[in-house]
Order: sequence, then structure tokens, then C-alpha cells
Amino acid sequence: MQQLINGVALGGTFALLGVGLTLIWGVMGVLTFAQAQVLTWGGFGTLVAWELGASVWVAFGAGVLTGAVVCVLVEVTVIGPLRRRGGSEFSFVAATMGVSVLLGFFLEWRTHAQTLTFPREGFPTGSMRIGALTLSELQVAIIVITILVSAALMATLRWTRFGRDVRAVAESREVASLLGVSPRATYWVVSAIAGALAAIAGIFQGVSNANISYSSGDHLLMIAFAVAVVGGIGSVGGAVVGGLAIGIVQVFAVAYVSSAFQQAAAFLAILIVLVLRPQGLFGREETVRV
Amino acid sequence: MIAPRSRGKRALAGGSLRPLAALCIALALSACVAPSPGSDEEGMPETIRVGAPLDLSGIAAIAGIGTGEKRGMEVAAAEINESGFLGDSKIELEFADTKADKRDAAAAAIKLVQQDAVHAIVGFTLSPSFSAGAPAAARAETPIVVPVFGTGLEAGDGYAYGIYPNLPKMYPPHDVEIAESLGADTAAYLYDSDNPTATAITDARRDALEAAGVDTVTVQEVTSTTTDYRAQLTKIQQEDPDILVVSVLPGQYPAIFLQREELSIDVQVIASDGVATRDSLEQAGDSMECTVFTTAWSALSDEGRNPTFIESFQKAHPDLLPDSWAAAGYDALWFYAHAVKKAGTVEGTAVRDALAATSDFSGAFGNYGMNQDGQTTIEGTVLMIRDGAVESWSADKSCKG
Repeated sequence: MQQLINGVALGGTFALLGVGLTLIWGVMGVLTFAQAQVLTWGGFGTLVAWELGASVWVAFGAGVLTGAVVCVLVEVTVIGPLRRRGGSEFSFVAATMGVSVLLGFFLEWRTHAQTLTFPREGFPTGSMRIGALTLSELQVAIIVITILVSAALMATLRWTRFGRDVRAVAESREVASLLGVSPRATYWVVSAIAGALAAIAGIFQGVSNANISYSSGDHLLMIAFAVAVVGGIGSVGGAVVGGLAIGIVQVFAVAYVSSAFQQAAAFLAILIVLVLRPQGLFGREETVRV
Repeated sequence: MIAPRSRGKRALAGGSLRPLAALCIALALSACVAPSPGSDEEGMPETIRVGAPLDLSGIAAIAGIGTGEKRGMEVAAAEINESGFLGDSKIELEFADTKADKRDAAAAAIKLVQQDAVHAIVGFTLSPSFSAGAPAAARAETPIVVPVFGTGLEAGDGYAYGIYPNLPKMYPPHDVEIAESLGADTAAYLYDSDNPTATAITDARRDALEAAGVDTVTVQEVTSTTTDYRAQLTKIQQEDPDILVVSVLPGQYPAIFLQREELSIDVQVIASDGVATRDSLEQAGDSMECTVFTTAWSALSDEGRNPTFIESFQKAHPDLLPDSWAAAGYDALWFYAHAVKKAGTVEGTAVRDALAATSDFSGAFGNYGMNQDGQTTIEGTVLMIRDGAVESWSADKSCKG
């Protein structure tokens, strides 16, 4: 049970990043490599606000806002112009790789490649006992926030007018425009949501480790792609389930096989899912007309 | 479900890569056959060029070590040049960022010895970078002094010498002493499996403790990029060991201790060098209390040039505290300077022989020399963290975490 909680909490971080990736791909058709740096920038947003004297909640909000703003800026300055000039999928990949390098370089330069202390005061960092279980308050917070945020996002996309607009733009930008929906505004909002989700993951990671560096999020990018793919690219619910599943598989590999197989087990599970169901757990089969 | 948009064009640009490949091959060949002007220079030149390939970026936990080494080398260079230790010759450091990447380390070594014609290399952060870059320097008969080192010195083909002691040999006797003082019967191990040095250290620590009658209950692996250790820590908790022996990168310690505390895991930790940096103590707070560790360098020591090093470092970096990595960088450059002075030349083989014959060096790590394996004779000292500060450890000291 303890390891199950460890797995769900680990998967919650994966899910937050994966949902952002799948949202950007599903709506904008862009496979972004900048999202791990957005996660890191979100953490730094909180750190800077904290150092300026902000309370924990204001600092948390500043971090989320930083992630959202960075992601929107990437859309406005790089992805948007590239889209208008008819850039291919590969050009988006290359461009977002470049953005990731630049974002990382800036932080590396500003921090002199040092790992900085991340504030923990005010965040839930204690532990609680329920029977034989020891629950980390931070793990509980990650699980609760992941579930709440994902549920709210799915509800918004399914039942609100904004959600219909997003789905319309995802289906066809041209048709959505004819229906009075602004694709550009939709892209901005979607980017902001994806950036905010990544930032939340970055803040939790900072609190968990008590430190942050320019490369804090880099190792999560591959996992986030895997989460999006295994859940079914474009599916928010799928990314949540995929993230949690990968987190649980990684932790169970440690608990019941060997810690040596932690990474390998996750990717083995992904391969099995994709071989059995190429469109992912919640993905939709595509029909290609010739 | 948000449907993905229709796919874009997949056609790759049709340009040929052959001219680029030819250029790469030509450059590689020229690097192999070009002479090494730095290594066969006789006498003392006005400027002694020292290449310093260091991991200054990349994985932050490793970059922190590289930047520490760089600071120590800069302090040493200033002392050597200002004191006139090498007469009219001045040391000029040529830093290269190897980005914690083997390919960058190999490329940097080739550039430094062939293009920049350095007289020596003082650098390579950690073993993987050294293993990748050292062969090129050794082929050019360029002496190498490595500040921080673990295993695989043979890649330097007789031209490489490490300042850090052989860690797989340094830790085990101290571990056994600590375990015996605690009356430990069982041990768990947590280490970075993607780091050959950490792997070798853990194997040696485990062998020594098992030979001393301390049974292994579990061995848990992480990697240098791991940030969530809860699965491994929970597994360790379930095995209920008397001691937990940890060998990871310095930057990983705060998270391990904090997550151990969150999960209420009460086990005595025997850590490794680099656990008690100022940043780690600040970040991990009380969770590191009572941790015992063996270190090659100690700020508490007044042996050798350590007081001078600490004073010079703090003068150069008022906002920072000196650490093991800076001490290693400092001693590495001074060690090279001593060898050059003894040899009376910067010629590669002469300096190599002088490095090997050094037996009376006085540095930040104390007074020591070079053994026949090309590593120093530093024995290390055991410290503990108590009341948020580092102090000397002894078997009769008690600590309540």
C-alpha cells in the first residue's frame, strides 16, 4: 500500500506534465520539447517570488503564472509565426528544441550552473500516520491537486463553451474560424493551461527536493512523452491514467523486481501497451484516406 | 478526446551530407596526426598553458562539482603566479566546459592538446569524462592531473595522476569502524548505478562490511538524475537495516534525507564525501542530523596548506564556503606546479615522472604523496553532522537525531 501511494504520487507529477504535452499536441498539432523547461521556469518563478518576500500561496501562484506566461510566449513568438508560415511537424520539433536550449541556457547563465535552495516553509512537508501507513503530506497534496486539476480540465473541455471552442479548433482551425472561434486566442489559452500544469509539477518537484537547478525538469521530458503516448496522444484523461500507471509501474518494479529495472520497467510497459493498442489506452484510431 | 490535427509534410530536405562527413573525417584525421607542440617543449616557457576540461554545465549535480573545481584552480593559479613560484613563468588556465557528457569531454581533450597545444591538463570532472578524454591527452604525451577521481585511471596510459584518493579503498576501513561502533549487524545500500565510481565504491563498502560480519539486507539503485527516492527508501524501510550506506552525487543528498524524514524512516546513515556542503545542510536541515561520513578534505583540518587555501578561497569568494571540490582543484594545480618546478621543464614525460615521484606535497588535503597506482595517499577523516554543523566523529560520541 505504501508503495502504491509512492507510485500514484510519482505518477501525479508525470501526469501534470503529460497532460500539458497532450493538450498542446491535440489542439495545436505541435510536439513540444520545451515543456520540461517550462516546468523548471515555473519552479524558478516560485523561488524568485519567495525571495522577494511573497507568502507561500503568492509564490505558488507566481510560479504557475510564470509557467503559463512562458508557454504563451513560446506560442506567440515561435510556434504561431512558424504555423502561419506553414512550418512542418519537424520544424516545430526543431524550433521547440531550440527554445528549450535557450530557456535552459538563460537559467544556467543566471544561476552560474548552481543548484539553488528551494523554499519548503509553508508547503505541506510533514507526514501523517494512518494505521501502518506513513503518508507524506506532499505526496497527498500532489495526488489531490493532480486529480482536481485534471477533473476540472476534463469537465471544462467537455461541458463548457470554451471546451467546445477548443475541440472545434483541434478538429479544424479553418472551420472553427468560420464558426466565429478565434484559433489564435484558443492557442494562447491552451498554452497557458499547459504551462501552468507543468509549473505545478515543477513547484512540487522543487519542494520535494528542496533545491532547483536549470536542468531540474530535463529528465522528465522522455517520461512525459511516454505518458502522452501511452494514454493516447490528445487525450487528457488518457494522459492522467498513463502518468499514474507509469508511476505505479516504476515504483512496483523497485518494490517487487529490482531497483535496477525502474526505468526499464516503465518503458517495457509502454512498449507492451503500444504493441497491443497502438493508439494508446484512450486514443482514437486514425483513418488515413489516400 | 481532442483529436490530433492532420499530419504535415514528412519529406526530408534532399541535400547531401557527404561534404560535411568528409570535412568531419578530415578534421578527425588531422587531429590524429598533428604534432603535440606543447608536450615536447624543453625548459620553462613564459606562459604555461594548462587545459582545464571540467563539467561546468549539464546535470546540475555534476556541474556543481566542476564549478567547485574551477574556483579552486583559479585560486591556486593566482597564488602560483603572484608568488612567483615558477619564476618568470605564469600559468594560464584554458577552461573547457565538458557538460557532463563523454563526447564533449573527448572533443575538449583533442582541442586542448592539438589545437591549443596546452602543456598539461588539470581537469576532468568525475570518471566518465576522464575515461573519454584522457586517451587523447595520453597519446599526445600530455600529463594529466585529475582533481576528483574514482576509478579507471589506467585510461591515462601512465600520464594521469589523481588528487582524490582511491575512494573504493578510502571508505571501507572507516565504514567498518563506524559500523562496529554502532553495533550494526545489517546494512542497506543506496547508490548511483549509472556512475562507475559510485558502483565501485558501493561494491568495496559492501565487501568490507560483509567481511566484518554486517549482513546486506538490500541494495537499492538510483541514477544521477533520480529525484524521487521514496520507492527505494520504502523498500529499505521494509528490510529494517541497522545502517544505510549511501553513495550518490552531492546534489542528491538533500532530497534523500528529506524524503527519508517524510516517510519516518529511522535508520543511521553512513554517507560519502560531499554530503555536508553548505547548500546540503541548508536544504536538508535537521533531516541530516547524526549522519556520519568519510571525507577526503575537511574544513576542520589545519594540516598542510589547508588554512592558506581556506583563507585564499574566502578572499576570492566571500559569499561561498570552500568545499572538497574546490580543495581538489586547488591541490591539482599546485601539484602540477610542484612537478614542473621539480622537473625544471614542461616537457610531458619529465613532468609525468616528477608527478609520479612526488612524495612530500603539502596541500589543502594535508601532507601527502603519490602512490604507485597514480593516486594520492590521503587516508580520509570521519566527520558527523550534529546540531546542523560538521564536527569530527569518534566512536564514543553519541548523537540523537
